[in-house]
Amino acid sequence: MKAFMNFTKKLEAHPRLQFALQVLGFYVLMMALFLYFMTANLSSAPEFVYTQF
Amino acid sequence: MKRMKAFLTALVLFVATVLGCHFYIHHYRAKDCVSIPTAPSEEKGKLRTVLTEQMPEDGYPVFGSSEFQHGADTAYHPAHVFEQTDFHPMLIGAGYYQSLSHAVTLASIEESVKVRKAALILSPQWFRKTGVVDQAYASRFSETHYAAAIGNEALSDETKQYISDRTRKLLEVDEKTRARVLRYDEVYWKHEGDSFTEFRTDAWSSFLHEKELFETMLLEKSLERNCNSENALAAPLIRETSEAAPAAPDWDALYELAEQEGREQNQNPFFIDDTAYDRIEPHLPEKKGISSDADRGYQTGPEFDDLRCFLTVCQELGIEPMILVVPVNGYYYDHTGFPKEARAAYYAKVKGIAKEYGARIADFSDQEYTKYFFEDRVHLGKKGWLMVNESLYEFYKEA
Repeated sequence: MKAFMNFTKKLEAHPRLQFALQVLGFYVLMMALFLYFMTANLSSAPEFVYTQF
Repeated sequence: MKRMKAFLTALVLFVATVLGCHFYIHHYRAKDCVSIPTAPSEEKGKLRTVLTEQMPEDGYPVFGSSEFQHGADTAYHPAHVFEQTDFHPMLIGAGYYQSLSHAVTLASIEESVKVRKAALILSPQWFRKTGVVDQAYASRFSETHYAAAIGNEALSDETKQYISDRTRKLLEVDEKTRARVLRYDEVYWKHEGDSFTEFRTDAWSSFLHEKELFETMLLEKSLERNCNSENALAAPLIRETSEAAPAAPDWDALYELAEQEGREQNQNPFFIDDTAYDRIEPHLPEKKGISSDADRGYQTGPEFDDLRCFLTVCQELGIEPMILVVPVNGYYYDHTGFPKEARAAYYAKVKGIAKEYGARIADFSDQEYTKYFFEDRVHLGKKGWLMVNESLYEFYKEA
């Protein structure tokens, strides 16, 4: 926790890096959503257990 | 303000990435690989883009169910038998895919079928009184296939009405999809939707199409790996080739191999694979005579009308169908007491329907007691696959 607080304080001294990390954060979030919707099984059908005859 | 700037910059990068992906998946084409059409993949049947893009020019769609996932690692499965020949079928199906979903799929992909033929491998177990199980149908339901089928101008209104009614009935277990099905009917078939309904249906369809292209790329990439990998099986048994006579499976050698392997691997009372027999053996006492009162077994239920629907779709689209009548495992069904008369009545009924529609029939109903025909209680095994493959090949070769 302490290390994290120190890191955020250091970041305040580097506005460009702070900005880049913010961009990266938003980008990763959006890409995660995109990949989820592209690959997820969005079927609302009830679960069906396949058994042999 | 700074955060807003960061968000907007990320958004620009995101949009650029999505456009890049869009461009890539729209132009992505799997390399020419015969293992994709014959791969026993469950996901393939739902993805319209895989079926239309990969439909072989030297083959036709073969619809079936769980048998495709059985025997895939043997020399008798179509994926191996036809690997190096001049015929490559597109196998479509997995467990619980039945006549109705195949009718929808065929109506959806028909434009990509250059050889205007289709085969349907009928499993007797589809014809239980209930027909296709609603939850199974819902879990196998493909909206992209349905939307394309219902919008197919070549289908008559009566056929569309039957497909729509059955689908809505079976989707009562999935209200959200059912609501969208109603909108597909309204927009793509009846052209009655208001502009808002049209907009939301088109937007959802575009999203599904994009999603399907993405999933198609992932599936094709995974199946493509089989093209390069060394096949664990021996080289397929094919006849010597020349330019005048292209490669064909060597049926005699394959039957001889099946007989020999059957003598080694299928020595049990049902003549099925020993591993399958070992699995069911502990349950055999409780199965004895369990179906002895099934006098009307496999003779009633909605599956017969679904089969008629499949054949009607073929007729309306100008596709020549072949119905493969797969028998029950005579040894096992005798054990359960399932009456022989009921079995005979079932075969007669499906053959009668096929004849009614002028479909070609590959009749294996006299193979109930053929040794090594089945892998287990119900699925095709060594000789079963060979007989089915041989009729698929002959059907392809006929003008």
